[in-house]
Amino acid sequence: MSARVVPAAVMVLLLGGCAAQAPKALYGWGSYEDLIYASTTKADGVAPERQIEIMTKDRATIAAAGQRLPPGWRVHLAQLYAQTGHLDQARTEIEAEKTAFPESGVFCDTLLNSLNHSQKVTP
Amino acid sequence: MTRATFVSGGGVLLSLAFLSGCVSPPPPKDYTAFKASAPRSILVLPPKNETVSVEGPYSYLSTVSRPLSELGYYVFPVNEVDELLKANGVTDPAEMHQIPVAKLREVTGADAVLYPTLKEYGSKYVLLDSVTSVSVSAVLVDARSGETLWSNQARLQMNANGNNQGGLLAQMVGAIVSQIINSKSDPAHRISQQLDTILFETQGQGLLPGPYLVGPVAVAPKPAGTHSNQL
Repeated sequence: MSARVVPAAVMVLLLGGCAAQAPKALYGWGSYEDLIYASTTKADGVAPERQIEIMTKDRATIAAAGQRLPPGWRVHLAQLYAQTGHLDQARTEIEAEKTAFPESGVFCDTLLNSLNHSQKVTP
Repeated sequence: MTRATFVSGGGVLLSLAFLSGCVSPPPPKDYTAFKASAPRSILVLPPKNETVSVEGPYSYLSTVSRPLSELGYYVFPVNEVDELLKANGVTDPAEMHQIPVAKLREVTGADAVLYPTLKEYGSKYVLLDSVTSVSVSAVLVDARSGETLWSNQARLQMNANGNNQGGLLAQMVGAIVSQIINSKSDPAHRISQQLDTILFETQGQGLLPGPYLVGPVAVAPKPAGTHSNQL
C-alpha cells in the first residue's frame, strides 16, 4: 500500500521543481497596468479626470483587500493631478510615494522641483 | 508485493515523462555581479525599436512594471520617466539609451537601468489565421558602476486559430465592450505579458528576486543611506 503512495509523492516533488512557486502578489494592481498602457501609448486618450476617478476607486478597493499600492502608482496619480491643476494633491501623492518607497526619493525630488518650477511659470 | 513494485516503477516512468516537458534548460547565468550589486530599484527605459511597429515600443513598455515590481524591485513609473526625459529634450528611445548611466542615476537615484530592445512586434494575417510574435532582448546595467549585471532575450509566437477558433471574434467583441482601454484588443500586447514571464522569471535565466520579495533581512545590508550619499 505504502509502495503505491511513494511514487505519487516523488512525482509531485519532482514536478514541483519545474513549476513556478505559487506566486503571492506583493501589490494590488487594479486598473493600473491598463492606465500605464493608455498613458505610454497615448491610445484612445483616457482623460486625466477619468483616470483619477478610476484610480481613486482602485485605491479604495486595494486598501479594502489589505493590499499595497504598487511602485509608481502614486506618482502616476500625482502626474494626473498636476495635469488637471491640482498641484497640492500632486505634491501629497509624490510625498506619499517617497514614504512608501524610499528608493524613489531622488526621482520624487526631481519631480517636486519641476512641479514647483511649473507652478511659478503658469499664471 | 511484486505488483506493488511494478506500480512503483510505473510511477517513476510517469514522473519522468512529465519532467520531459520542462527539460533541457540552458546553463544558469552567472549572477556574481548581480548579487554584488544587489539593486533595489530599476529604471526601465523605453525600448529601442528594431521593428516597423510604431506603437510596439510603448505598448511593450507598459507591460514591464508589473512583473519587475512583483519580483521585488522598486520600478520607476515608466510613463513619468519617459516624460521627464522628453521634457529634457531626449525624445527618441534610441537617444535615451545613449544617456550616460551616471546622469540617469543623478536625476532618478536608480540603482540599475534596464535597456530593452524590441526585435519583433505584431501580427501577420494570412487568410483567416494570424500569427503574432514578440521578441525582446534586455540588458540590466548597474547605475553606479555602469557594469552589466544581467542580460536575456525571449521570443514568443502565437497562432490565433491554433489557440482558439473563436479568438478573433472574441477579440472584436472584447474591443467593442471595453472601449475605455484598448490594450486587450492588441494580441501582441497580450503576448508581451507572457513573454515578460519568460524573460524575467525563468529560473536560472531571469532576474534575481529583489528586496521587497526577499524581505527585510536581505534588505538590511543596503540601507537607505545609499541614496542620501548621492544628494
